Amino acid sequence: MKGQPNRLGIDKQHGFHGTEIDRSKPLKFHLDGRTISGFAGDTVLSAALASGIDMVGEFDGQPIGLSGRFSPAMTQRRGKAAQTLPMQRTPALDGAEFHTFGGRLRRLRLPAFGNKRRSLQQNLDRAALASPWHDQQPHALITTDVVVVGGGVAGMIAALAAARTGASVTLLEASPLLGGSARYFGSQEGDETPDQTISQLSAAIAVTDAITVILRAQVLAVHSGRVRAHRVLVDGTTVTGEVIDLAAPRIILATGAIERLPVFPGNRQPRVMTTLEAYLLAERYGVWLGRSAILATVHSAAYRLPMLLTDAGVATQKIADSRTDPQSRFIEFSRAYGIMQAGGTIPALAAPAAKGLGLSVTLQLFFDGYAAHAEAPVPTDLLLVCGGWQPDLTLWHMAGGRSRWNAERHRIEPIGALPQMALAGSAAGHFSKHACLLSGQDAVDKLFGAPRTPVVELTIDPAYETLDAPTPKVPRSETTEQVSYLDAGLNLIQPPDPRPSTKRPWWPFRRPEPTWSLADQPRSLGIVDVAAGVQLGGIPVESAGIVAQERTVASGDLIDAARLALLPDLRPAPPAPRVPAFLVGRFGPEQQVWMVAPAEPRILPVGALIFVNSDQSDSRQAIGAVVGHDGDSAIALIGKASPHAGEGLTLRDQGRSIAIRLVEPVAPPQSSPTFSGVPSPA
Amino acid sequence: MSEAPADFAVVGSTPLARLVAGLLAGVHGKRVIWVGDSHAAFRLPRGIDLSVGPMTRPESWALLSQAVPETVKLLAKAGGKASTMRLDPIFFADTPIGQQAMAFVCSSAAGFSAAIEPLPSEHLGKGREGIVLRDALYLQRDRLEPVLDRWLEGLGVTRLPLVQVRLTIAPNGSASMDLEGKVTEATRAILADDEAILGHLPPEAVASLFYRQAMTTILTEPTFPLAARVMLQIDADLSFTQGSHGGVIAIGAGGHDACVSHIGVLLGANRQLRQAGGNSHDSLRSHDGAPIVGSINGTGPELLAGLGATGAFLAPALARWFVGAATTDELAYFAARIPGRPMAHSTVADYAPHAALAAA
Repeated sequence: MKGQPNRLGIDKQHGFHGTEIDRSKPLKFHLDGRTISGFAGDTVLSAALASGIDMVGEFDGQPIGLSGRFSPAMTQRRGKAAQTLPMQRTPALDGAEFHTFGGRLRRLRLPAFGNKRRSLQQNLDRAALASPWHDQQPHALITTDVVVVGGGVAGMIAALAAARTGASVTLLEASPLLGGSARYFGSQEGDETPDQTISQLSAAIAVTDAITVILRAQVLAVHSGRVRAHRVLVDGTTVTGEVIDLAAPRIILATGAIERLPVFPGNRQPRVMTTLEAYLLAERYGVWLGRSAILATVHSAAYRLPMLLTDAGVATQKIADSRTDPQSRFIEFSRAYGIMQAGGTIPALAAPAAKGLGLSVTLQLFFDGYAAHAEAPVPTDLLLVCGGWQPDLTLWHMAGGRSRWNAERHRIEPIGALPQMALAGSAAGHFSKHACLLSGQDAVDKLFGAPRTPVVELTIDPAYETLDAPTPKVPRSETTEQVSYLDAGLNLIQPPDPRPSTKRPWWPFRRPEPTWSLADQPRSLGIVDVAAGVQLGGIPVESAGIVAQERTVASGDLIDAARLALLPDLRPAPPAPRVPAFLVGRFGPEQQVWMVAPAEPRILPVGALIFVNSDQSDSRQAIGAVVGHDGDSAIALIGKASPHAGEGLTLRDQGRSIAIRLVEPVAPPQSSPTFSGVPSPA
Repeated sequence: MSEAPADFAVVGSTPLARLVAGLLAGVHGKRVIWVGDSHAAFRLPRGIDLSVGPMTRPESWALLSQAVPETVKLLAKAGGKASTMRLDPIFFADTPIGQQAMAFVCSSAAGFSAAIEPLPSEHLGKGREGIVLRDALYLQRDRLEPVLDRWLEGLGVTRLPLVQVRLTIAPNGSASMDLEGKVTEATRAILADDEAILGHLPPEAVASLFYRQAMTTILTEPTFPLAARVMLQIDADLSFTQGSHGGVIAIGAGGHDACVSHIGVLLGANRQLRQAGGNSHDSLRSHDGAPIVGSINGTGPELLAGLGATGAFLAPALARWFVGAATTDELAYFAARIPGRPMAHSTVADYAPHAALAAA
């Protein structure tokens, strides 16, 4: 296909023709002035990837790959922040002009070559990728009985079950279609296929009037009874984004799971891609980067991908599995395809290939948690990685939900409950499609007080289906420029640098001791960042849930939140009390309130201390202080024994002694000063 | 044969708890168990450590002026010099009550090596009064924590993780710590921060001694530089600390929404503030605004509470107090601030933001 080097052909029978695109309707649009080719049904992201753009820009001197979880915001007209759009949710439109938004490098009008041809040229050192829609004001308020967040199979069945109770339901899905990631995982023996399940559920939803489906809608925040989302709308040749609020007494979070990124140097290089993202790009849009691949996984379902690729003409050079002797029917099938498999092997390094767009990948043997012999680097077009799965609890935490680390499953799992809110599917920690479907029904049962639906996993004995291994992690090496990151999301957080200083402790230019402070990272963290932090030993297991709750927050405008939360109290502040509570007994038990006057006309400032004579300056020797004013007169608290009118004293103001005299006692306040408003001590 | 009990079990995860534990062991030769966690590198802070505070009593400034140089030397000796920072924090107040208190902060601090300058009103905004306190010391907890942990290890202080240990405190103030079946004991327990007190003092004792203040910590994404790296709004008991990356950590009284509202009003006039993290927690305040130091009626665990941001800098004096080696001034200061003192007409009362907030 002309202009689309990364679009799979359709000359063979395979499963990656692209279910969402219409190849009979080619289109062209411009992105930062560059012509991008695609098909009707593409997103801007899928078309850009198909056209050979696979890099966002550089960070810390290293190229960073383009993906659905890491792509810049853009506008359809230059410089309008209010109309920013996400690449992965915006449909490609013929003739449209899109411009990336943010820290783009100043671009000369010269032909791009080398890495620039494949890059969106974002200066990631200057500005992190932003999601400006987080700061937009809501355009509309939609009232509904139930909001279901996530249009996978669990969310779909939850929407149907809620509608059966007579409730109005709004189903929000971030991608352009329902179904989620069920197809990636395949089916178990005797179970219907994901295609069958999704088709049935989609058909049922389509004929259920009580369900409103909003696609391309990413939920930004969940608060009690309220959901804020950003959706992309298409009107002819114009695409707009808008923020909407949904008020709903019941909320179901079916947000799925996020694929973990193995932590190794070069893990965010262009053409290092997580398996689910690669699968969805191929399945929905027929997009695939290159014609060869290496797969590194800890999870058995990932083995399906190389088999499907073989049919599409992509050669899988090797499957590296960190599990020493993994067992799975998928593994047996892929072996039958003749794909080379290597147990106990992890990715150790991905670096740009010496020539071309591909990678040079180094694999390493890995036994019992220890990395051993590194293999010779292998050139490949694409490194597919799967580091396991983390339930997406971002919104759960945002709403106040708690969680904890599951050491057996190597992931953060939800605990406890929230009023009027329920988790369903993978987000709730379930694995099989069967359990996800049951949990969707059960979430509705819980919220409506109906008898609960038992959620049973259809599991295969670990002897036949080996459990996932922990996400591999390889420390940074002295010999490589490549760095590793904790996750594939918007944050570019690197693991701690374990290299100790080689200088003596007293050496003035010594490198500081290695410290790794997530607390100092002024960005909200992704839940996968936290999970990786636990596995790297930077976050103790016991603190995983607390850190996740503290740091996986809505990244919205605080000022807007302030406006929403509590308008500032505009009542006038009360006047200061004549004798504040902190001066009770300060100058002795007999202290009295007096009017005082300076020997020469001047203002006596509040707080100035009063002494018996000018020789004294230690504030502990003070016998009184100015506490306020009554017209032009100063009011003071005096703790001296037997004070009398006309008596001379000394006041100190900024180190200077000022002669004053007592004028007359002032009637004490009606009630003795005390700590009003504070519960009385026992 | 069972091991002899240690002299002290210091419970708490703040720099104050660590410093007291280390001083008891290193300077006073006591056998010490420190029960605490190291989480400053990944948890959001619940307080700050600053060598100055909104104190309205001269004796507090006098004690602090003695203790700060000693603490600075101690930190340098422990290898923590790089974890401290000299800066000029700003205190400011918007309400008449807060401005009145700030005036007394200035006059009380005079003569105790605290250089305080009033800020012109145009620097802070209409109706707002502020002061800058020169050359204060700020502790960077995330950097200091590992340094102090190594220092404690070098002093032979036994460390037990608070999150894993089963801690039992007897009515006589002794402590028993069970870590996975291994039991260790200490003759006296010191509950050295709010979390330790809330976790291990009977609720009725907490209720009788303290006002429990809901607090919120908010971390923002990088924003424009504040007027100072550390700022303290006296009225709302709200501190702002801007980190090296430009993010601001705000710690303030009230629930999340109330705190967000305050922050938005105070900082948001000409800038965009985006939240990067947050937590809610409880803080303990005495009813009279003064610190609470010592044991209830001379029995039970020793309590350290209400010391505010300056607590860590009082560690040398506190350690001497616990071993009976306090100076006359220290003895008088701490003896007047023991738990159970009369609160309604306290003779050691200090500015209590919670009381001011409630009055407002």
